[in-house]
Amino acid sequence: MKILLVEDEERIAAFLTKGLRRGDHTVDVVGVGKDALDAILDPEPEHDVLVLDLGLPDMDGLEVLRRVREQGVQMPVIVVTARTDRDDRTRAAQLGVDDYLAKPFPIKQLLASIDRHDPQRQGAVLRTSSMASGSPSAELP
Amino acid sequence: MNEWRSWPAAARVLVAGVSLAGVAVTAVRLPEIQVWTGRDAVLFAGLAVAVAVGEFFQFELPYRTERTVYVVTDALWTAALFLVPPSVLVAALAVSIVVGQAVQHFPPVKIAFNVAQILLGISAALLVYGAFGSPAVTEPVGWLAAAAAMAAFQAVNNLLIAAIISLIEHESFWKVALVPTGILHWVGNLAIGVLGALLWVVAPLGLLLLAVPLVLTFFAYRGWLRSIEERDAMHEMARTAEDISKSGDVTTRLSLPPAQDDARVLASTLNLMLDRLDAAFQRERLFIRETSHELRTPITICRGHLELLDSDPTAAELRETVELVIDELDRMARIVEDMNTLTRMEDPASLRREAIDIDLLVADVASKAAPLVAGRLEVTSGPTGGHLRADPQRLTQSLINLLRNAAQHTPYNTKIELRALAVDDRWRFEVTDHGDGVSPKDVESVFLPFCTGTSTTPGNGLGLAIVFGIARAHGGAAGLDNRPGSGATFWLEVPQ
Repeated sequence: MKILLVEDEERIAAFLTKGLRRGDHTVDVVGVGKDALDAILDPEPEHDVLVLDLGLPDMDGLEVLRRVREQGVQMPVIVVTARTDRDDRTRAAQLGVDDYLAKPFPIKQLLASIDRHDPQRQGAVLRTSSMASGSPSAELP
Repeated sequence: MNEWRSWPAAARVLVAGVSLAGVAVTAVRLPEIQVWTGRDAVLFAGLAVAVAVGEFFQFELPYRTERTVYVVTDALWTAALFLVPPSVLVAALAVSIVVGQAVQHFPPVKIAFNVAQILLGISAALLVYGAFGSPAVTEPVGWLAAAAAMAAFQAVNNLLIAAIISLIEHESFWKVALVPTGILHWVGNLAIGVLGALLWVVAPLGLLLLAVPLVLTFFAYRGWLRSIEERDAMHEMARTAEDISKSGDVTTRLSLPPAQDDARVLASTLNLMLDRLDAAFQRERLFIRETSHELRTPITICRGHLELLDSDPTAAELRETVELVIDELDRMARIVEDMNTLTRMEDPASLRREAIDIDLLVADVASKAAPLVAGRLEVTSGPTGGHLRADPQRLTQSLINLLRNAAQHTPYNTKIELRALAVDDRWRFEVTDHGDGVSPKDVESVFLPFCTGTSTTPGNGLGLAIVFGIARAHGGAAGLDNRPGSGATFWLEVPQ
C-alpha cells in the first residue's frame, strides 16, 4: 500500500515511517496541511491510505480532512493524534475517519488498521472465512 | 398571568368559568341598580373612586412567575358592607377594579379573572352578612357579621387564586393556598373597615385620625411581606446551594428573586462567585488536558523508537536511540518543571523578594541568555541606576524566557533588543524582536499555557505563561506590543 503520512513532529514521522516500511508499505511524509492537500487532491493521486496527525502547524488536521471529503475523495483515513477529546473524535467520525488512534499507540495497531483497508488482504480474509463458515459477509471488518 | 396561551387547559377553563360567574353575580344586581336613588349614585361614584385609588396601594407576593396581590381596598369593602346597598357595592367594585387595573395595563385575561373572583367573594360576603340580618356597625353583632362576611370573601378569594396558581405552576394546591398571609390580611382589613364605618356613622371627621394607623399599618404590612419574600428567596438559594454542593456541578446558577432587595444582591454575588469557580475549574481541566496532550508527544516518540529498535541493533543505532530517548525524557522533565513553576507562581508568597540593582540584573540576564541568542542580543537601555524589590531568580527566569521566545521565533540574523526603563511607579523590561510579529489570531492567547499558536518552532508553550505568572505574582503585568510584519515587543512590568 502507498501511504501518505501527515505528521509535523519529525521524530514521530521517523519511527512511523520505519514501522510502516517494515509492514511492506511505501510511505511519503509531509509536515503541513497544505502539502497534504496538494498530494491528495492531485489529479493523479498515488496514495491508498492517509495517516493524519491533527495538530498541524498551518491548519487543523480535521480541516484537511474536511477539504478532502468536500472534494469527494473517499480514501481511507487513519487519524493519529495526541488529542483525545470526545469532540475531536466525534468530528472526525462525522468526517468519515476510518480509525482514530490516540498517541502513544503500538505500531502494530496502526499496521492492523491499515491492513483492514487493504483490498488484497480483505480478500484473503473473505476467502478464509468462506471456507470456514460459508458466511463471508459476517466476517468482514 | 400573561402567558394565557401556554397555560394548561384546566387553568383556562377555570379562568373562563370564574369570569362567567362574575358576570352572573353582577347581572342579578341589575334590577336593584335600575331603581338607584341620587344618593346611591353618589355613593357608587365615591366608593368606585376610593377603591380605584386603593388599588395602587398593593402588596405583591411573588410566587415563581405569578404574583399574589394583597390590597388595602378590602377595608373599604368591609366598611361598605355597613354603609351602602349591596348593588352599589357590587357595581362600584366591578367598575373600579376594571378601571384601576386597566390603568395599570394589566392583561385583559387577568383583569377578567381578578374582577370576577372578587365579585364572587363579595357576593359570598353579602350573603353571610345578610344571614346575620344585616346588623348596623354600631352593634357588636355587626362586627361579628362583618368578620364572618369578610372571612367568606377571603376564603373565596384565596382559594380561587391558589387554584389558578397551582394549575399554572403545577404546585400542590394546599401548599399555595395556605400561604400564611391570609389571616393578617383579613384581621387588618376587617378592623380598619369596621373602625372606618363606625367613625363615618358616629363622627366622620374622626376618619382623618384613622389615616395615621392606616399608613403605619401599610408600611408594617409591606415590610412583613417583603421579609416573607426574602425568606422564600433564601430558602430557594439554600436549596440550590445544597444541590451544587451535592452534585459538584458549578455550572448551576441561583435564580434571581424578582424583588430588587438584598436577597437579589446576595444571589447575584453568589452567582458571580460561581462564575469564577466555574472558570477556575475550566482552567484546571484545560491545564490538565493540555499537559496530558503535551506529554503524549515525547512519550510517543520514546515508545515508537524503542518499539522499532531491532532485536540486535548496531552500536550506532543503539547510541542514536538512547540519545533520542534521553533528549525526549529531558523534554518531559522541562514540561513538568515548567508546570511546577507555573503552579507556584499563583502564590505570591512563593517569591523571595530582595533589593535588586536593575543594571546588574540586565547584565546578568544578557550574560545568561548569550548561548540562547547567539550574538543577536543588544542591550539598548543605558545605565538606569535604579533599584527594585523583587525575586531576582524569577525575574531573571522571566526575561530569559522572553529572550528565548524571541530567539526561537525570529530569523537567526535579526537583532533582539533588551531594555529596562522606569514608567511611572513601575520598572518595565522590554524584549523587542524584528521577526514577523505575532499572528493576529494568537495575540489574545499568547500568554496562556500551552499556546504555541501557529508557530512551527520548538517550545512547550509554557514559557510566556510563566512570564505572565511571575509578573502577576509581583503585582505587575506582562503584555505584547505587536507589529505584524516587522516584529514584536514583549514586556514585563513590576512595581518599584
